[in-house]
Amino acid sequence: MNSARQALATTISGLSSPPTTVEIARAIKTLSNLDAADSGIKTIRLAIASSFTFEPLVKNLTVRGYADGFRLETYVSPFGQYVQELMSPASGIAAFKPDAVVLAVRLQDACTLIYENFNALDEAAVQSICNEWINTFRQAVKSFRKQSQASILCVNYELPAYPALGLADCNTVPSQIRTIASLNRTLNEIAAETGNMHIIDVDRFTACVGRSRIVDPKLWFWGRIPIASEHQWAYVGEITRMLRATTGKARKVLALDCDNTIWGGVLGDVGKDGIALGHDYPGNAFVALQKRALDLYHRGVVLVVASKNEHTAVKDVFENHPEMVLRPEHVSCFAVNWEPKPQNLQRVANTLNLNLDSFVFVDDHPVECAMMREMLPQVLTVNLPEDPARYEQTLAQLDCFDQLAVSDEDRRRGEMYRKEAARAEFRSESDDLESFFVGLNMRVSIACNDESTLARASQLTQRTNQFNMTTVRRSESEILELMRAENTDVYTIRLNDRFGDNGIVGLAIVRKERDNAVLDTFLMSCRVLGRSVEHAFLAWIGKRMLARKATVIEGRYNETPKNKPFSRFFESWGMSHSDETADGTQRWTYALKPSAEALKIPPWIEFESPAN
Amino acid sequence: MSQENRTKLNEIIATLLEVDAATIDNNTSPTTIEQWDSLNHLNICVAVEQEFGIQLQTDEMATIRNVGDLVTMLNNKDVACA
Repeated sequence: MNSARQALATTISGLSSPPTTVEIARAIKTLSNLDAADSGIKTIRLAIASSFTFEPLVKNLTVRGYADGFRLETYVSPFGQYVQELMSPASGIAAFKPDAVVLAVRLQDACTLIYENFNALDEAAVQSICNEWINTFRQAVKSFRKQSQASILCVNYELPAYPALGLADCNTVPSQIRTIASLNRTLNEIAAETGNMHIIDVDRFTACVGRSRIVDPKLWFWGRIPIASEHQWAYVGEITRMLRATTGKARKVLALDCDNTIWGGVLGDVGKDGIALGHDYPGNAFVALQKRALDLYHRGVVLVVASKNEHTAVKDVFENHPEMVLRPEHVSCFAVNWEPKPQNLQRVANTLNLNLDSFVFVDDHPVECAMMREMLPQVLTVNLPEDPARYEQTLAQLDCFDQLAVSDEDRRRGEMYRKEAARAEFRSESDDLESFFVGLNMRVSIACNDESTLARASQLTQRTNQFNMTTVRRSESEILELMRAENTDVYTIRLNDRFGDNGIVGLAIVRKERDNAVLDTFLMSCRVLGRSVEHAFLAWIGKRMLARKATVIEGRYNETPKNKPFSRFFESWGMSHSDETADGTQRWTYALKPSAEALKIPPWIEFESPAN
Repeated sequence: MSQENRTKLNEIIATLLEVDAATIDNNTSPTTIEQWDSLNHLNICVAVEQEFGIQLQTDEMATIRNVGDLVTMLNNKDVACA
């Protein structure tokens, strides 16, 4: 990232949500000094013809433009002259030669009687007032189109919070609400007949904010500013959102995590029948998220699954779980393995031949999200909120997939990509993760036979399925016995990183049998797998055993339906598969020597425990 | 605290009006700074509300004629300002 881009990113990420007036003023100052070419953003000449005081919104709009990747050069028409400005070839707008024009004309200003004197009007009068305005407006747009091919972004009319007839509005003719709604339909027709004219649905926006809250009477009566200061950032966001859509900056791929994202629970731990999916909470929250994802699929968004899981287990859920909404045919790529997700997305991008800057990655886990943001900043990473009840809303609010219209081709896109990818599957491959690990600032401490860890140690044996050598469950008293036994040590490992304390995440029980250090138990919580902590933990144990004159470290792995991830670990650490007993227990060994490669502890992991 | 709030107030005004904070005193007003027009008056009031966590009635906005009035108003709302 060059310095201009860096400065831009820093300025934008430093803003509150929504930004304060002072923050906007400061951001403008910083951003206007940036070299647009260097910061890699596009300049757009944007004219605004407005029926109200738009100037205070321009600063918000400019900063929001930068946030969305545009440097906006703006021109605001003189107050109240929106019709003349559109019609006259000698107008300020014409001279400005805009790429796009925002028509922010409120019906309250252009067609005042409909708002302010409605109850005094009969049906014919309402009709004639509306026709008169629409004819004027249509004429203005037509003559503008004759002289300019600029995109026209037209704000529609908001329905009133408090209709003049009160409760009776819905069953009276004329109805204020129906009158305005019908004018909005006419605006859509004008847009269609004009070409390159798009409606900004301010009525929907206002309803989202709250029709009664959009206006701050103080701002309105003082300065004819019809949008309260706390909503101005969101209002201009509707404009930049449309600019993004007109310039084709929509994202195309949605990559979804599985465990605790599209279903509740950890598949490897609870199995297909144990995950939360269904009609009651929490299952219904995950179903709702899946339905949103399916809506996106039918809009042309390509779905990808990015999960640290056993590939076959995930496929089994997609194919056979009765409550799944998403099915294999909706997914272009299943990137399901134990590799870091950034690597997986990189490969998916290559396979689908799409740029990573069109990817959106959704995961519940803060560390997965941090890793993605760090390694692939061009991917839009969405960290789901803690509460699954809020998942669906989070996905619904994303406006990065916006397109101006959805075609039949869009609806078939997912299918096309799925065929192209031909069920691409992604398996292991190493990559340079070191800088990410270094950035995590991981610190571990290992406790030996510490009775205060009993409860957690026992719990880990009960709960851990995937990364667990034997899956032998142990009670607290059994562990206490092992702690007190001669020649046996119980080690627990605690992990801290820059995101906070992960608590005790791993357990090892080691028995010394003559010259052999025998692993009775070795397990690690799945939350922290793939961060090299498991390698460091075993290396630390190996060193300690070497110091105690052990010559071989030995592990006995019992394969269960759930602990396959473990089998690859011994091999990757350097152990050899020596033999197998009659009951299927595999014996893995490693010769301990001071120079042994496997005993090197990764430099990015700091040990806080006594290194004895 | 009182002095800190005063520095903060001066900086808000300076940022919004694009002038040097050192030039601002109690007599600074729409007549001494050209950029302090009706819209910037509103901006200043909104920013003061946001930064000091207070509320201004529209009438109060109308009675503020200079920086000294803003200082008095803040003190009346229990924001100590020198």
